[in-house]
Amino acid sequence: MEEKVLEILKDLFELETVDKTCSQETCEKWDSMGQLNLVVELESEFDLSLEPEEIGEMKSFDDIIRILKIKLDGKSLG
Amino acid sequence: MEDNAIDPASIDVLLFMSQTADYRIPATAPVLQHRLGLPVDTMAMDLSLGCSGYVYALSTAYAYASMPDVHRVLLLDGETFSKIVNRNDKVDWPLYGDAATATLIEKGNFGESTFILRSDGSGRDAVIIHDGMRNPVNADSLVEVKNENGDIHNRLEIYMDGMDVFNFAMKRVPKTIKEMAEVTGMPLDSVDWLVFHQANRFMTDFFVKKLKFNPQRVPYCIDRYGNTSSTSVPLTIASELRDKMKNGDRVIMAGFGAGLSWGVAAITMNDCSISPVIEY
Repeated sequence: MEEKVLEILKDLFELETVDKTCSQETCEKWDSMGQLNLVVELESEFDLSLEPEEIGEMKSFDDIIRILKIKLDGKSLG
Repeated sequence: MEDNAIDPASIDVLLFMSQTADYRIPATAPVLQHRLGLPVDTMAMDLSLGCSGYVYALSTAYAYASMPDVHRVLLLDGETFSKIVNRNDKVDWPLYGDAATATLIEKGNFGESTFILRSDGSGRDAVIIHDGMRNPVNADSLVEVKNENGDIHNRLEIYMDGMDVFNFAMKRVPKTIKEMAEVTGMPLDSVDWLVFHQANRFMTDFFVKKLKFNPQRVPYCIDRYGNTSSTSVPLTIASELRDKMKNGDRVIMAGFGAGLSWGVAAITMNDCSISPVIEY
């Protein structure tokens, strides 16, 4: 999952290199439009639906992984 | 008042919502009371909030209108952000507009109205004019600061961290609208109009999609008037719904912004008269 998320971040925000420190603070192109595009990519890749309040908390790579894990765990339980 | 033949003497309470008031002292509301020819027994006061302001002010107007001996409350909401945005600010200057609205609230048997009003001052710095009373104005207040996004402002002009506001709105606004549907027992598909503060259409369209609300029932005027802060909700109603609003329509209004502060109102529009927008 982590590799796939890094790949999405790299492609979406046109980064030459990407690592786990990637965040809204460090990535210039990660703006509000970028965030909505990121949501579209994540929902498509992981076949899930993110709630707006979850999206509002996704400010970094670590946030994305944390939220995706909760969503995917819930999905497998469901 | 002319459109509806309202006698100025019949106004009991005058509320003025703004963050760009005429003077630091006095409040603008008493000045407006005099200029509008309202009697001296009119209660007049200013209210100050950002883009959530109209929803808050409307709740205040409703509260006063529910008191004995208060029959009419005039709520004036006006913002001139062109005076507090740096003209060279590539981020904020194209975004904001100036506008003013007047809403008359009368006592009557209009059914239930519900307000959810929230605050989170931990986000104080997301939208801010830095200097004022806490940080007194001095010569440095006029020094412009520019960041890599093209955002230019001095300490007497508005600064907005767009992502902070976006994350805040994403986290709070749709959830509070859902909460309103639960509190009122009113499913969202029974709501006739959902009127958002006109901040970012991509964002509010996204809210609409996530709320599974009919996008045809979400009016916008941001393309013509920009973000007019607290006036944007009533301006959208006046400019977009004047010919569409029917008696008894259920409206949800959502305002959100500086503070951080947000409010959602569920109102039934009974005997509602909307005057045309006047453009200057």
